[in-house]
This record gives sequence, structure tokens and C-alpha cells, in this order.
Amino acid sequence: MPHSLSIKDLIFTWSKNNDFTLRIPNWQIDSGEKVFLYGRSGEGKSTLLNLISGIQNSYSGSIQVLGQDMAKLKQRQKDAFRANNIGIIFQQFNLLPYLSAQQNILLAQRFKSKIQTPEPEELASICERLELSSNLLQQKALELSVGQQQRVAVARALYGSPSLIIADEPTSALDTQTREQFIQLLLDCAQSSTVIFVSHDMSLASHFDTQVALSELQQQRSDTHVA
Amino acid sequence: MLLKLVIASLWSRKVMAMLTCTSIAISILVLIGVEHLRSEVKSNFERTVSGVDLIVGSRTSGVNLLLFSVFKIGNPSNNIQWNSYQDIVSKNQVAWSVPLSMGDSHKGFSVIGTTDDYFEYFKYGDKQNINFAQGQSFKRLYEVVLGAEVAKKLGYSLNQSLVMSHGTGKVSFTHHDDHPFKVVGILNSTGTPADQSLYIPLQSIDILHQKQHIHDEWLSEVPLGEKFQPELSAFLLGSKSKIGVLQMQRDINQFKQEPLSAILPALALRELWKIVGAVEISLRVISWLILATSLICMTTMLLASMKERERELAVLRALGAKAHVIIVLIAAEALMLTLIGALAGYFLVTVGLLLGQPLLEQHFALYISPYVNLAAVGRFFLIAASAAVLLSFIPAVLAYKKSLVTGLKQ
Repeated sequence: MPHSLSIKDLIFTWSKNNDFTLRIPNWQIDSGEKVFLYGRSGEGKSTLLNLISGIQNSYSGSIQVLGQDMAKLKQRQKDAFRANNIGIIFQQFNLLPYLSAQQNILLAQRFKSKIQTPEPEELASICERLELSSNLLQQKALELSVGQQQRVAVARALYGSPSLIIADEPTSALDTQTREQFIQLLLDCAQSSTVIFVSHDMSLASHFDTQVALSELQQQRSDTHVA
Repeated sequence: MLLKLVIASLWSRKVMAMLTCTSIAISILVLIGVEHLRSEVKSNFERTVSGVDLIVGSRTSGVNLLLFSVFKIGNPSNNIQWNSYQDIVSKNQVAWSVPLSMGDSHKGFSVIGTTDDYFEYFKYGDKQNINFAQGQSFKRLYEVVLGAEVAKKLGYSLNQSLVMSHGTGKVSFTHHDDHPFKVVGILNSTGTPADQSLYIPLQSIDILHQKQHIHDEWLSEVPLGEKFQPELSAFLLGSKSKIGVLQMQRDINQFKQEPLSAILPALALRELWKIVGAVEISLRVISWLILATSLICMTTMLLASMKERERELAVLRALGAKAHVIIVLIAAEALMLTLIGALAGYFLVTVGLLLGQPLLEQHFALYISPYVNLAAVGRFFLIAASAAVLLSFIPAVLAYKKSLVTGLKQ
């Protein structure tokens, strides 16, 4: 089975006057795997996600996403690659407040390199599973509750069936009960995609196939994997 | 799509956006208004006298002579003797001459004593004649021809009787009420100071000043130069050839019998406009400064909105938008605000001119066209839009750089 993500000897340094360095010698994620990535704040979770999604550059080592070596792409191509293949969900503020929920969902289509004809059935089925009523879809994003906003964010990340979904602490703004529901919903809907779910909350880890701590990834020795 | 985003984003900040548009509208209004008034006043100004080769008065500055003879502002320093006038106009380069005598008034309008040659030779605009709207020139001693504004403002019509006053004030205590004048002609409107005067025969001025009592007669019965040898305030000359004008001017300036000045109207107009020019330049500078201020205000507004836009940018980036999308978004926003503001300003100027034009005409005798020069407006639009886009790069590039460092971190 091909890897959805394959990282080797990654070294990323913030800047010259900052001694924080992100070092990941070896990490692979299989296609369709649901991964829980645990990390405390300040450990470099967001940086790692920025690197995987091709927003941050100038690292050494190799990052392959869905078989594509990110270093070989130009910035424009990385942006297009992200638009086509990766769905991203943030902690909060996923939506443009002045657009309606539906406009937010469809916004992602704009940046895809191949103009995909929007499939109303796919959208309808996603919205149905996420319990997004057509009434709610017409509302402005800023009029929605946080829970509703996060469900719209999931709908947007899922729409167009991206192969990889990255969720960066998407539940931290939700209360405990909604949190469980949200994760279950996300995993149910994203069955065909690979999911990297980042959180500092270990209590959520049990929902996932694989649990990894960022600190462990960083402590691994790379030499065992180098041929 | 990006355009839709810009509109939706602006709409979400509509109060701020509207205020910014208003300030830009006002600055464009001032800019177009000042430029329009300037060019209209200048062309009005240049229209006042045409087809006259020389204006002659007693020794004075060119501007002063022009002001009192054409604009009816100020007074002649001295009068010209009838004999001197006769001497000069008898020279063979002289094609025609029109004598002028000022110093009387009627209800605040100046009364000019002249001959009916005035209506033939004094021209305005592009060598246009002053035509009669009604009636004809004076044929008898106690007849008067009215400028268009005089007739309109005082509500006079043909055959009405008027009394002239001595002096040029609005209220005069010496009325020549033993000699009422009959209105025999009303001139067409010219949009020049010529509309603001009453014209009577030169002989009648002499009668008023000498306090003679003479019965109404045909002018042909009482020719100038015999019984009547009035002193003149100024006279207009036409030359037989263009080359002769400068020679004639030199001769008059060196006239032996009395000190005289002769001026070329076009040159004197230019000299006078230079004096007005300082005001013109400061008005222009001020209007450009107003535009600069409102564009800087807009930039401040854009900068202030950057905090909430960082999140907006993170969302767009996550969806696959290129990093420079923020620059495009902000520049488009600035452009849109400026163009909407500028259009509103243009609209306001046009409405203002349409409403204000009758007032300007009534109070200042200025004919200001309500339709502004579109080429000038286009130029202002272009300058304002380019400046707005350039200024928008300040917040845009700051946000762009920040986004490269922080990535998707919120």
C-alpha cells in the first residue's frame, strides 16, 4: 500500500536567531490511515502541518505527500496541489465570516487547478451526513455557532474527496460532549481519506487507528531506516 | 470570484467603507470642481474682449486700463482730451475707433457713453459681435441701450424711461432726473462684463456732466466734435494691418500733447491672469492635498482591518490560494473604494454645477458650463486609482510578508 505521507530526515529551523528546530528522521502514514498526532503547544505541530501542506518551505530532507515530493514543486504548484488533494480544518475561524456557509464550502473549488463541475449530489450527501440543513447553509458564517461552523469546515474539507485531511486542533473550541460527536462524524465521513488529526488532548486518541506523539517522532534515530 | 470576495468583504465593513468612499468622493469633488471653475473662469476671462487691437487710456498700467475699460472695475486715472483723440484716430493706420466715457451709473450698473460703432466693433469670444436681442442702437440724445443682464435683473423692457446717476455707487445722491432716457435696444447675452452696462450716446454724457439743458434731438443733428467735445475715459482702436499695431502703440505711448497708454488686450489679459494665477495654483495644491489625505485615510483603514484579514488569509491559503492573493485582494479593495468614491464625486460635481450654475450666473455674471471636461476627469480618476493601488501595497505587502512567516498558524 502506498504511503499517504512519507517524511525522511526532515530538519526545519525557524530562523537564525531562533534555536528551535523541528527534526523528524522518519515517519510514514499509510493510505486511508487515521492518525492521531499528539503534541504539546510549542512543539511545532503547526509548523509540521505547514510543511506537509506546502505552505512553509526551506527545509532539508524529504517530504512526500501522496507520492509527490513536495520539494520538487514550485510554490504555485504546491498551492494547486494543496487545493486539489488536501482538506484542512483549523482550530477555529475556519470560515470567511461574511460569506454564507454554502459559499464557504464552495470557495475551495475556486483554487483547484482542474475546474471541477460542482456535484450537487456530493454536496447534498455531505451536508446531510453533517446535519447541515439548507436553511443553515444560507446563513452567514458569523451567525453560526462554533459547533455549526466546525461542521461547515468539515464539509468544506471533505467536498471534492481529498486524499488527505489535516485537522489542527479542530475540537478545542467545542465542549467535551460535542467533541466526541464531532470526531465520530469526521471519521465517518472521511472513510476513504487519510486523516491526520492533531491535538494536545490525549482523551481523543482512542478514536484513531494510530497514535503518535510528536516528541517520539523527533527522538527516533534515522540511521536504522537509511539503507 | 475574487471580485465577489472583495465586495462581500467590503460589505461586511460597510460603515467604514462608506466613510472612506465619502472622503474620496469629497476630495474628487474638490479636485474636479476647482479644475473646472479654473478653466471656465479663464475661458470666460479670455472671452471678454476680442477683435480690438489697442485700448488707449491716459497714462496708467496696462492692467488698470484693462480693468476699468473692459471689466468696469476701478476708475481711469485721468481723462483723455477730445483733441488728442481726434489727433490719434486721424492717423492713416487707424481703421476704426470707439470712444468710451465712464463714470455714471444706474442702480449699480455702469453707464457707458459711446457711439454706435461700439456695437459694430467691440467683439467678444471668438470675434463674435454683440447683437441686439430687441430694438436697435440709439438714434437720439435721450436713448439708451441695455446690456442683457441689466435688462434681465432690473426687469426693463423697450420704451421704458430711466434716470442716470452721477458716480458709480449703487446709491447716488445726484440724479440726472431732468433727463430721463428711453430704452430703445436690449443686447444679447454674451457672458461678459458687456452684459452689465447701459450704453448711451457720448453727447448725452457731456450733457449730463455739463448740466446743460438741451432738448431731445436726433444724434445726426448734434454731431460730435462741434458742440460736443467730451473728455474720454478710454478708446478702442482697430488697425488696418496687424503689423501696424505695434507701431501705433509706440506712437501713442510717446504722444506729445498728453501722457497716454496703449495696450494690447491679449497681453494685458495674460498679465492680469498671472495675478489671479497665484490663487489658482494654491487652490490646485490644496485640492491635491485633500486627495492625498483621503487616500492616506483609506490606507489607514486598510491597515486597521489587517488583523481580521490575517485569519481570512489563513483560510484562503489553506484552500490553496497563492500567497500573493492577499495583495490582489487589498489592492482590489483600494481600487474599488477609490473608483466608487471618484464616481460619486463626479456625480456630485455635476449635480452641484447644474444646481449652482444659475446662481453663479446671477451673482457673478460667470457662465459656468455644468458639464465638466471628461478628459480631465479621466486623468484625475487615473491618478487617484494609481495612487490608491500604490498606497494599498503598504498594508498588502506587510500582510503578505507576515503570512509567509506564520503560515497557517492562527
